Amino acid sequence: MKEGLSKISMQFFSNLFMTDFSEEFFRLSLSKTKISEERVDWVALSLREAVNNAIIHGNKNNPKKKVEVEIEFLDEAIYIRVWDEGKGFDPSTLTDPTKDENLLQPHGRGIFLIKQFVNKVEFICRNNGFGIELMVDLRK
Amino acid sequence: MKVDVVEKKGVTVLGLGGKITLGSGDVKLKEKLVAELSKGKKKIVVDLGEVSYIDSAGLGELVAAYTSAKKQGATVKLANLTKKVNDLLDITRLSTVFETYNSVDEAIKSF
Repeated sequence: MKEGLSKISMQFFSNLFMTDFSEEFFRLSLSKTKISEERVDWVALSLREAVNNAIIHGNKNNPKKKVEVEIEFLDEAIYIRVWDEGKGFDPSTLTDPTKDENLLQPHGRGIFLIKQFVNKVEFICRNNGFGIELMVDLRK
Repeated sequence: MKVDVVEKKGVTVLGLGGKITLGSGDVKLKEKLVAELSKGKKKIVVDLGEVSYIDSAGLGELVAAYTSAKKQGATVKLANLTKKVNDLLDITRLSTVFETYNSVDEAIKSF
């Protein structure tokens, strides 16, 4: 399935215009895999949410700060990592948007949606930033 | 995102097309809806039949439309949902907030 492609990445300055570009990058990178079109669509939505969060919340829309999207292909899984130059956040502060009291909130569904369409989500750190790692289990 | 506004049997129908995503379609929906509410429109159907894609910001925009309308005594109903949009409403439990209909005509008749 990998056909020589094991890890690819792209970096760009924070601009929401790049969300569409990231999605296309992701779709192209998966074009030779056997993942169903429907699953690609849902994972692409997770990626969009992660990139938007990186730009808006991580980099605070600062056009001088970069976002990196990295896609790693393994035999049994695909790992998608989206990095920003922010300080991260405490995931325990996230509220459940499906609770009755939150249903009419216009915000707060991004991370929730990410979690629905991939098999595992991790919040990760490196020297110069914060990231989110999405794992797509190809055995499922 | 494309937004067409038509009046049908006393109901304002906002026909959306394309993507409702952060940075693309969400603002247009808000502008159009606010414009219709300011004209005193009370019965609004949002036709989502031509919407190819919606993200969390787009869902938030639909919620904002719903709450803005409610505050002004208006009602927003959704029609023609694609399977993906329908799935997203179910997953987020927004299907318990919105009245949804298989067609615009059904939504109009429900008022």
